[in-house]
Amino acid sequence: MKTRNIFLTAIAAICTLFLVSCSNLLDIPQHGVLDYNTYYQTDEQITSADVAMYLEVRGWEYNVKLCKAMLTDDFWAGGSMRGDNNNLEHLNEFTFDAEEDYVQAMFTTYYTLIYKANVILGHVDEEKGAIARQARAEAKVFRAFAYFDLKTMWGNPPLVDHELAPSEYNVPNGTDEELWGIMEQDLTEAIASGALAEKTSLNDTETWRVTKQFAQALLGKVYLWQGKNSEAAAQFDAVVSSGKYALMDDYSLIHRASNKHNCETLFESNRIHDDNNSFQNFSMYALMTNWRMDKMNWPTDTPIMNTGWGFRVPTKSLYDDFVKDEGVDGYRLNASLKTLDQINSELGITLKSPVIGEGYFMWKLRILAEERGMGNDFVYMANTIWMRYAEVLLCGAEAHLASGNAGKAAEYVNMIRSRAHLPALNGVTLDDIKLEKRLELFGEGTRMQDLLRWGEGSKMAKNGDTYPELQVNGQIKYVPCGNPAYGFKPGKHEHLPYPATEIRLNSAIEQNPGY
Amino acid sequence: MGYRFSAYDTYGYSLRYYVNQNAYQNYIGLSGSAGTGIYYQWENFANYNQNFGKHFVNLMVGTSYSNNRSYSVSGDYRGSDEDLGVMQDNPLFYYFAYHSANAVPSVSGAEAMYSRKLSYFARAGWNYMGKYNIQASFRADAADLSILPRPMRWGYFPSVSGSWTISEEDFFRPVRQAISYLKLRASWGQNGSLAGLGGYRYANVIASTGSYPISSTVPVYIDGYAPSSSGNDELKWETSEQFDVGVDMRFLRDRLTFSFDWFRKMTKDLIVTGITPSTVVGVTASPVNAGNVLNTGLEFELKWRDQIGDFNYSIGGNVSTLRNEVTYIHETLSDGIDGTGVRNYGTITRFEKGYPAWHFYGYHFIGIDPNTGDAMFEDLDGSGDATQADKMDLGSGIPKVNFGVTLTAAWKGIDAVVFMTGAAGSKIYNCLTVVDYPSNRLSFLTEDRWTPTHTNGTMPAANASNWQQFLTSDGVVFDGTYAKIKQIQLGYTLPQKFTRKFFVDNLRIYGSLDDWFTFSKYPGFDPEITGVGNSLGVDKGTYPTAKKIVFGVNITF
Repeated sequence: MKTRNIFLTAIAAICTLFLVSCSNLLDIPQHGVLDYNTYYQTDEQITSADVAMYLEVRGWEYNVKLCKAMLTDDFWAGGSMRGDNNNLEHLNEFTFDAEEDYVQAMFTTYYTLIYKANVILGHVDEEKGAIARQARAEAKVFRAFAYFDLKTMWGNPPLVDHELAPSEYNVPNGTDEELWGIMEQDLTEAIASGALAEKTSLNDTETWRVTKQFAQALLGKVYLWQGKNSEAAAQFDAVVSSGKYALMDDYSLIHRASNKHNCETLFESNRIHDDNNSFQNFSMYALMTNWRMDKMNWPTDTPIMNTGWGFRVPTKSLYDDFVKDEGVDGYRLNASLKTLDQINSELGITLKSPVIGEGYFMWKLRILAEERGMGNDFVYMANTIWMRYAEVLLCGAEAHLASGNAGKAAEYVNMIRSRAHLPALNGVTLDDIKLEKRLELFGEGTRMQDLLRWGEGSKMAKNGDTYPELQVNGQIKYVPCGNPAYGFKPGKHEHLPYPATEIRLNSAIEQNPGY
Repeated sequence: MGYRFSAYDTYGYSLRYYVNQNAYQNYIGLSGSAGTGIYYQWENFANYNQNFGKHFVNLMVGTSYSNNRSYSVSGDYRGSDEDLGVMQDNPLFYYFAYHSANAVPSVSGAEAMYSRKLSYFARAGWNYMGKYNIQASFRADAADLSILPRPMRWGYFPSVSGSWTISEEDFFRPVRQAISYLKLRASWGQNGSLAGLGGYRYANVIASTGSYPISSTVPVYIDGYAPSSSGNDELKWETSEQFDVGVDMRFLRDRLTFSFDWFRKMTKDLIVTGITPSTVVGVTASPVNAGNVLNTGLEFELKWRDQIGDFNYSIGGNVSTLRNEVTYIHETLSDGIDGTGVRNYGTITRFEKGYPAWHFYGYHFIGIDPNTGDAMFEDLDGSGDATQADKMDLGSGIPKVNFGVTLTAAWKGIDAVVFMTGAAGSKIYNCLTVVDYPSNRLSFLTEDRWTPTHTNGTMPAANASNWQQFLTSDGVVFDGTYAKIKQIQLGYTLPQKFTRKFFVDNLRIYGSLDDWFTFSKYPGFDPEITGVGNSLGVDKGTYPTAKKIVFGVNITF
């Protein structure tokens, strides 16, 4: 009995001892990640953290560009028929509320970029060398880039300038001084640091980073939006006098995939044709904004991409402004929009069933089959252009006009006009500048913020009353939308709403009026 | 010791096809994969039982360790519009070794994934003459590194219970005629859960966010890295602590049994994943121990069983009540956590202090505007418009009362059972309606709708402007009280004397109606089927329970 007891106890002891060492087996290491506390030390790590910001901006194309286009008088929501995409219709017709998905997504993505910039500014030490200084300067530029949109679209978004600890999660609305202040400080420091890249020459197509001139143009916009016109003019002039940018001669080639980093663009998000990595170049934007091809007949060798969901459809009001400025055969008009007759005669494309629209088709930002990647509609090769030289000139013209330098304003506007094969103007008024800016930059994400700044939101007061249905024979039927409340309302729509989730999660933030 | 091994391998190829200009494949695609899964579990127990006179003592200690390993590799080759992908258009060439020069390979996997657990436990019990009983146990559980941070890995869970069988006492003898059995019991215990954790979600690590091409002409990439989550190195076990007191009684020669329980269960440090504290933080939050939830209630059970000659029957019923309330929320989560939503119309459940977990949230519907047919909502903030500030608590999907009734009868070879169950005091949020595009709607919403000729309708007009708000209001929240007769079964067992001739010990044939009768006012499909977790009580169209008629045979040899 006793030996048996001892024997059993011995077995029990051995088993227990064995299992005690088992607890080390629970330490299963994680693959594919790096330790946060020791990161941001080497050049390679700093570069990777920096590139994370470029990746974040590249992902903006779908939300940011589409939202900004919808909130203007340049476009209809579109789609295969009424109700195809409710959210875009809500934006276009100003019937959205704080729960609106696109608004929430845009708001979130700006703060994700700000977070990534804050992480770099908090962890990358200036002393570490040139790469570190460049990363810090670029983080400041990206942070200002995000805050510019946040301030001009939401009014007083929360100010976050470092990584937040859990006790700081409830951030109140930022004041105007704080927000403009951080943008001015970030951009001024970045420009002065000398660490930002610059194009080597006018025809440098390799520089992919944000440049000093891009930061200057952004700073100019920051000043312009505050009414600090002479400071703004100085920044835009600095870009012009750098000699590194010029307007492209051939208007129709600016946005093409074969012309990446051309002399006119200040900042682009890169895509590349690489069959081995096609989904690194995912883009839904091209598919969304291409013409509604399944309602058209087209020749099999048509250059236009064969699938498209037909959103972001140009309005007649845009076309009419073009005709007012250039006439029906205007060079820039024909490189920007096509009428139904023109797509019939020039491309052999006809309509086979009604689409939403007033008979005008986007041509400037057309989606081409040859720029599709890997045989897949979700992979599009053209880069996304965030700012081009034309915008610098037009903002510069506005700044000069407002600070009393009408001659310089006219000079800049005439550069735009002469590239558009239009006669020069002797003197320009603010209305002339506004018109040129609409025609030159429609669909490129500037109009919405401009209209708000100029106080011209009432131009969108009728958005959502009716929508146009283009019939096969070219007639347009205006169908009532059935929204009892539609269109831009002064006192409410000067700002987008803070997302409903934010209002619920953040006890310190106050919603904008009317939401 | 338990061991389980599984393995698989696949091989496939896809042929060329052409449907239209957008759906086609001009190449032969090859694919293959292989994987194994190994699971083993090793448990050890040591028991000690000893009688000391009228006392009986038992002790048990044990350990348990389990390890799960899964491994897989897969790959494929693809051609393109111009490239067939394989050297020859012949099935004998449809293998990786014979891919064409330009075929594009892709591989994934080849990474063993582990999941491991370790526990120690012990139990001690003492029993005196079948009258007094005490038992205590203790558990220590450890989770592996992918679930909890190393310092918080262990969870310790004690429990103790005791009972006093009063009917065995000497002083109880006189009453034994009426009450044949009376036992008083109580217990207190903790146990732990790691619901939904894994994948190192607590860790604050830097992970890749993609690859960015730095040239627009040649494929040269730099990988971007950024923190993947805010990190939570204080993440720990979720503990449920329950205290229970109960009485069991039997009367009238053990024919009538009654039992009663009161319980109070506090779930502490509830683990909540996938939350965003606030958008401006800019990064997703790691799981947190978000809050405490209290459940308390009563349970009653009454059963009568008797025999009259050859006829046996029993009638039993049980009722339980439940009160559920969130008592604490972690400070980073502000007022509460959003749960599920209806499409993109808005959030409809929330986890907030002072309310049941994941209570319903939305506008309060007060009627239809007779002039326009639009829905009207209570305006809590006086703003004149239906805004976020007008949203309020609309009830909960957790029933206040659950009940069940079982009737059985048997006579000679025939047996019958009727089983009914139900719940009351819960609500159901009906999310079957869509307003973005034409689709079917519940007739409840259309039958009495406002039309220009029927302006006192109780439901909004078909083209009302605020349908999205109506669908996030209590206009679509219904009473979820129901009772279902889950089963009515009748069976007949053939006499054994007869079946034994065919070497069959037992042959029973039966028929039953399952889930046949439902009594409820709910206008949707099935009041019993709703979501779980943050969708408890939300009906998003899960397939309803089907009524069944079943016939069957049981044979024992």
